[in-house]
Amino acid sequence: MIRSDTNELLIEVRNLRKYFPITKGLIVQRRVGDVKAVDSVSFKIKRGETLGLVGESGCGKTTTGRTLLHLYQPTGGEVFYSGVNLEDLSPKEMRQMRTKLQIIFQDPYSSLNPRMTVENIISEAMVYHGIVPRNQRRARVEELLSMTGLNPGYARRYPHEFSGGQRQRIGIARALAMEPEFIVCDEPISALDVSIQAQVVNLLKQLQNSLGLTYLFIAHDLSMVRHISDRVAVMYLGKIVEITSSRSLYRNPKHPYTQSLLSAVPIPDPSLEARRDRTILEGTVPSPSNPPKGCNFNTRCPVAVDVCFQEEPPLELCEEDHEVACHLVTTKNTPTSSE
Amino acid sequence: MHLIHSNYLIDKRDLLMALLEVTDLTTTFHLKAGVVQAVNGIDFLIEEGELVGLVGESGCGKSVSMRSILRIIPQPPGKIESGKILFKGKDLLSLKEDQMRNIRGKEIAMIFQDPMTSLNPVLTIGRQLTETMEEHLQLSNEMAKKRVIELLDLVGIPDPKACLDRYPYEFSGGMRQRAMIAMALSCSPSLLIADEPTTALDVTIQAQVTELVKSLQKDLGMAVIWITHDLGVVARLVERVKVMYAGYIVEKAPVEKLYSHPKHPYTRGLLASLPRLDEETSAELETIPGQPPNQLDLPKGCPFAERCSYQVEKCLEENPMLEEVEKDHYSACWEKDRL
Amino acid sequence: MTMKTSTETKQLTTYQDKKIESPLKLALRRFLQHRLAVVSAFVLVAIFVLCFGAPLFTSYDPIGMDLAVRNQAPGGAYIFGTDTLGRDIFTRTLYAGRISLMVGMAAAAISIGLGIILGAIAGYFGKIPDMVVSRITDVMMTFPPLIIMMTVAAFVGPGLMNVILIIGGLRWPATTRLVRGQFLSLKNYEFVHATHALGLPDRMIITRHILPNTLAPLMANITFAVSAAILSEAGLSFLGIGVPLPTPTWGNMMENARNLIILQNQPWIWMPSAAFTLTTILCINFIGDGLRDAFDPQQLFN
Repeated sequence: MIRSDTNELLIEVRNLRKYFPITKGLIVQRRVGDVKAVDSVSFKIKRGETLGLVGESGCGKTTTGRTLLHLYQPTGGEVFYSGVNLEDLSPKEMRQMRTKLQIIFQDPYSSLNPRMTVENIISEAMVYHGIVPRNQRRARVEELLSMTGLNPGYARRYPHEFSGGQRQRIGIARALAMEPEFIVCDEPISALDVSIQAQVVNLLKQLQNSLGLTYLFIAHDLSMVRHISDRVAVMYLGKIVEITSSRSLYRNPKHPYTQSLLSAVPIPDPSLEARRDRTILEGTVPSPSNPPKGCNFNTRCPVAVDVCFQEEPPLELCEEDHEVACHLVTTKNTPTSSE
Repeated sequence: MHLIHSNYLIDKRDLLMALLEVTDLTTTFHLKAGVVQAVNGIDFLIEEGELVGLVGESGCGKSVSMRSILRIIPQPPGKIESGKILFKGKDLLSLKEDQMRNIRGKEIAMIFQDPMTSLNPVLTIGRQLTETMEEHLQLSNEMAKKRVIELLDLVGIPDPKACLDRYPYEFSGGMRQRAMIAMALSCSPSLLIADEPTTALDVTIQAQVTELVKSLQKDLGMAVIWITHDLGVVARLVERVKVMYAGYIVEKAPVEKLYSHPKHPYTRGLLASLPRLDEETSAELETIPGQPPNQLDLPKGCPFAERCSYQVEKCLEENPMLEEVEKDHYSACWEKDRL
Repeated sequence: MTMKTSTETKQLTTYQDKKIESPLKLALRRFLQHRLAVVSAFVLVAIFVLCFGAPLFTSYDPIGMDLAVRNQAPGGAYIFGTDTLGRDIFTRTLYAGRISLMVGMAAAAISIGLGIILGAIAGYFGKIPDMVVSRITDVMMTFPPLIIMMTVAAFVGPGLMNVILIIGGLRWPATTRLVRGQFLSLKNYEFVHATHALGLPDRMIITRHILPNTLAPLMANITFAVSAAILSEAGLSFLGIGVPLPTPTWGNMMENARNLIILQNQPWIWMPSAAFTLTTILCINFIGDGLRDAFDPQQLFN
């Protein structure tokens, strides 16, 4: 275990914003509005830690991961990696920096170039960046394959010959080839079958322990996020509404959205399910191009009061290591919804 | 092997009000690469008004078996090789196509996973819903419209009257699925087959839809077969569960028994591999090694043998049949008594 | 760090016994199942061998006249007969094929090359480069191509090189649009996002990752570009503004049919070149169909 318990900050995200413009007009395009996919998101990740990022589809969690890595140019805000502001890097320096910051994708089918062999997929970038000399590439590829639980003899095969779970392992090997310190896991298991999901999650955990990796684990499966994360951030409509340790989020959720999200997740235990009280949220998520005034959640919130429709609640510390963006929490009244 | 089982079914027929009785259903797909053994001689009974879960991973035949019942698999390449499907005493497999059309939608309705593609994008919601009713129930347009408004109201769509003139793209995913459910209910079917209807939806919306189906099933007294891979949803929703693997039903039991004392290693493995929202899980999840067998070339013995930790020699030689372990609890495993 | 259980490894080894099938091999196998395309490929190869190996099959001179044997009907020493100047039609048809096929391939190469480069730039970089390229293609595609070709040909005068440049220079917008569209859609595939995340430069992303995946529709486009170029050449030469006489091409041989007497009474003079053109075009198009099906990328993504 290299995993260090020092409180070294590896990733710091400050007021990160990503707006996608809505344009009109064929020849001269006018900007008529913005889809605020990520709207002023801030969080920190310590070295060796896993931050889970959960939320429903369209809440901006995937965009957050990709904007963090500068795969999308941020509209505003800053990302620091080990104290270095990624915004200050030249394109060339950024390309070098990318070896340290990697990503694993959701769809094991579209995330591998179908016309390349597994060896080329894994080794192309590490040879380009000079991480491994050309003559050692085969050996390194085989090592990476066995590290990710694949047969080293697979190196010369093509992606279409593999199952979803195996492809996901190849994607993991490709990221590891860069010898990264930080990996964004962008819903890495949601496209996999139930019995394969646990295999991949275990692999990710083992790799984290042996290589000292830091993860941003994006998912909509709250049970899996609880299992893998040290801390969890909950997103709603482009904003983080609650961020705290995994334990306190599940034991003591403060934000009404987190509360109803947790109560919506079914637990594989029929007798428990029969006894559970659930808050079922009404309605659906508003469009991120036209978020409501005040708190983003006010259209569905079971406990909203006047101030929620007027002012946007800031993300504030309410207890040690527990930040919430809710007017009712910050005024020291933990909202208790209908349960 | 199927004989013994069907004898058992016949013995009990007097006791059970069987709505649907499927015996030895076998469906294959004849592809260039070979014959895919999608469903391999499954037997089951559905009683009137009960809520049954059919669980399994992708490709296990759960969806194909249900589509075989409605005879909506593409033929060719699909082929229903053998079996008897008694619905209210009529053998569906011997009906003519136009008689079958009277069963589909009217007696047995089906809703699908993807509400985006199951609605025709160029027709209004109202038009699509009234159409089925005018067709099956010979209602006038006026009557049908009135009934559709009632149904949309029943499935919780706000302002149903205005919705008639709206197009599917104006609806969110959850709303579309509600509209699909309304469409399925339009002829008051006695059996509703729900094919992963909540898989594409967010948790909070999923909770809305499962609650809706549960209450509708209770109020309308129809039977529901809920196909899913999500053991959490099953625990919340259904009364009895059938677990499928590689085209076989490997276990069936009332829901509490299945979760508290799974009698098939596959079910047991699946349940153990799920992290739970309500409790801390150990560092490593239990996994089922390997992946499901290739259904072009099923092994001679038990299809799960290769991945099974209870494997004995016999498992590789002979495929176990579904046998009663205790009252109402069946398992297809040679070593079921060790579990 | 020990991972995976023995069961997994067992399954992996059985996997390994299977032969490796690269996407190219896979495409070849599928192409070979397309009967019409395979037959067409054989016929096309035969036409190429006949044309480019012409001296092996005929001893006549394609240009030299022999007024003693004018307008001979097919048969005897002249399989396809002779033309109004006593030249052997068979010989001329084969030599004409050389020019027509060469013009077709060279012009297609130019248009495909331009099309790929411009389409890749527009599709990959988007924004201003895309606007410029797209607007030019739009404008180019609004003009009827034959009219432009005729106008330009009238300006620059006839000549083999001019014909190639005119045809090649006017056909690229179709390829550009296709390549641009492919780039736009492939750009959003996760494997392309992955290349950005891996810090690879644009040059590598375009040439090694996106371009090879445009192969399927491009294959069909390339073949159709060749057949279209052959037809354009024939059209220009037929109108007398293509490759100048006495160099034979299928187009200017068919031009003879403009004479009503030849059209009606001496069909052997224009029919062979017409038949060769038709066969070549059909073969190329069938092969294109076969290639498009064979390279269908869907099979690689699932």
